[in-house]
Amino acid sequence: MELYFPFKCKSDTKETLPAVLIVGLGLIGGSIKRYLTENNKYQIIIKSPIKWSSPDNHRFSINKILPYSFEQIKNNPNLPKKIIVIWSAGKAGFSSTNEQIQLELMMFKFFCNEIIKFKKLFNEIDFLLFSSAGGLFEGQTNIHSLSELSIKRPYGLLKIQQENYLDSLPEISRKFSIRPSSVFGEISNRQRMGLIPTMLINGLTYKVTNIFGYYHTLRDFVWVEDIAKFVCMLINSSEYLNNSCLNKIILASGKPSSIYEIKNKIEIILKRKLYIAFKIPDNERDITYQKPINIHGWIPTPESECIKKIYHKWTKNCL
Amino acid sequence: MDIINVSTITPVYSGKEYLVELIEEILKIRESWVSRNLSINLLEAIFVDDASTDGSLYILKEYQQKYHWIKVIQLSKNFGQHPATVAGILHSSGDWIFTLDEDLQHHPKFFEQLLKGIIEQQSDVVYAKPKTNVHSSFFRDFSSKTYKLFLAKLSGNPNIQFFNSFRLIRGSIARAAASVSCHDGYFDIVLSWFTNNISNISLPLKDLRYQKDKKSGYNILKLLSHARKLLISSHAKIIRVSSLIGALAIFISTFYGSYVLTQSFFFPETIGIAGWTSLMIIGLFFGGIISFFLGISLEYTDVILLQLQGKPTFFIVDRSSDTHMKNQIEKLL
Repeated sequence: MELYFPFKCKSDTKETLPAVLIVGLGLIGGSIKRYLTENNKYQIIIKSPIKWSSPDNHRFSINKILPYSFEQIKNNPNLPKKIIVIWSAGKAGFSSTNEQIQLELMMFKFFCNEIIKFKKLFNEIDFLLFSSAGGLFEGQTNIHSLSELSIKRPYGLLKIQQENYLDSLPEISRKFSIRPSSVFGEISNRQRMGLIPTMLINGLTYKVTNIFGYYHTLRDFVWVEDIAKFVCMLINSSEYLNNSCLNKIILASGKPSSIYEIKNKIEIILKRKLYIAFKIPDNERDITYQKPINIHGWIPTPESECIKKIYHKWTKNCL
Repeated sequence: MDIINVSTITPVYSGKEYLVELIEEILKIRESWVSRNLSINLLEAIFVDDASTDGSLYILKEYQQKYHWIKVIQLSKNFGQHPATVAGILHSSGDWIFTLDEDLQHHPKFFEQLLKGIIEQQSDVVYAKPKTNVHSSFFRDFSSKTYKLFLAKLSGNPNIQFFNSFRLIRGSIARAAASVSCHDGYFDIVLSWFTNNISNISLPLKDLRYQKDKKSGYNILKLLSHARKLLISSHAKIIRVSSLIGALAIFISTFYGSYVLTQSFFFPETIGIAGWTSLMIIGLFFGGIISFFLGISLEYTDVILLQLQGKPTFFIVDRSSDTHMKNQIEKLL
């Protein structure tokens, strides 16, 4: 968990950049953090790990970290008037069990109840929850903002319960549930990457990629950098937050891609064949989306471009 | 019950005169399937604007605003019909895909017949085969038919003679073929890399634009370019003929050379006029060697080229929903 303050807090102007609290610094949270700090708009104030190993450890660490953070910042002269909490944490995935998701839901609720106490310091608390379009609309095609939910497994249930819990908190000023489709990031040892960088690095190192699906399985891939850019735009634009009538936002590119298509694109870039093994599909149904409209500031990068950027960055880092 | 989703793909270049009617016809089909409470859904109609020059794009954009299931993809320049079709397929998510032209030569009213055809013949691809001459121009129709037949024989791919831009294709196979199609390739040839379950049904197709205005989307140069692409993509076994000719030349020259040598040693009196026989035999022999090895190296090149182009070692298809589709088609008809 990390807390960021803007470098310049214009408390006497209409435009006030909020403080940002990011919980979960994995694929999405880590990318948002990089965007916040890269342009020198934000500085880190508090950095604390949260223990996820058990509910007791989690509660203990939240009980310790949040009051500590509260004490650290309450007398800060640059304290912003508003805070945006970004929840991109969680270990649950498509294959999680009911017990695992119940634990995670409990941790989420506990965190929300504690963060409400920050209302004493900040005029407004906004909350951006990273949900999952795949978990909520599994097996559907041409999904759009008015599509009916289709929850088929505990992971989807966790996400909708998190969203509903967030919606029930009156202390939170504005609540946004961001529902990304299949997210992928850069090649990394430290965190989940997504299918595309996994296929890339396995291709580069002559390893076999295990695909939980079929060649023809359709997905909508979105690059984590685009998500981070969009979230930073939300953070920097109070007008958008105030005026937006959408509080459930699907972030998808609108272009369905089969695993076969992705494999071919990667093979063209790497100039070598990929070794693919198919495991018994768990979630092999197609999930595709309509091109999102009315989401100002959401500009997904085409996946061919993303693949090239990931590959070139990796080769540059190696050299 | 699982819904069977169907997409339509239409490349658009100069279809202003026909687009409104085409879209309205597709809309009628869509509404008819809904009203009959079927599990078949016309999920999306994708129009690919191939740098159209007659304002077709404005019509498409208007309809896109009106109907959420109409998608418009705008290409950066005129790439051609096959690349535009490939672009549309790669943006589709239907279980089955219709591809059709912009000018009502391929009328949406035939969709149900194509669906029936594909189920009855248990195919992955079904082509519409014109019942009569499409262009009402004997020369054009005859030359097109003859050329395709010739290539079908030469390449060993009998489906070439049925290739038509009015097709119904299984979605997974269409997208797989589209993802390995290259800029100079012929999409239908690539399609045949993924399946042999290809059939055709006869339909009364007419090129209304050609009949009315004597104008076609293709001038003679474009038609020749199209024919060239088909020849190159079909990997016609011309190079194998080269190896065969070379081998034959080696055999003949060796056999005849032996005969002439025997004759000159043992029966010199039977040789009437001394001439260039040895030169001819040597020329034939080495010419045969060159031709043979050239053919072999071209075969190797062909194998590499096919690999580079993405010809698959295998592809898995899921036909489990075909029974359900058959039941729905029976209700439809």
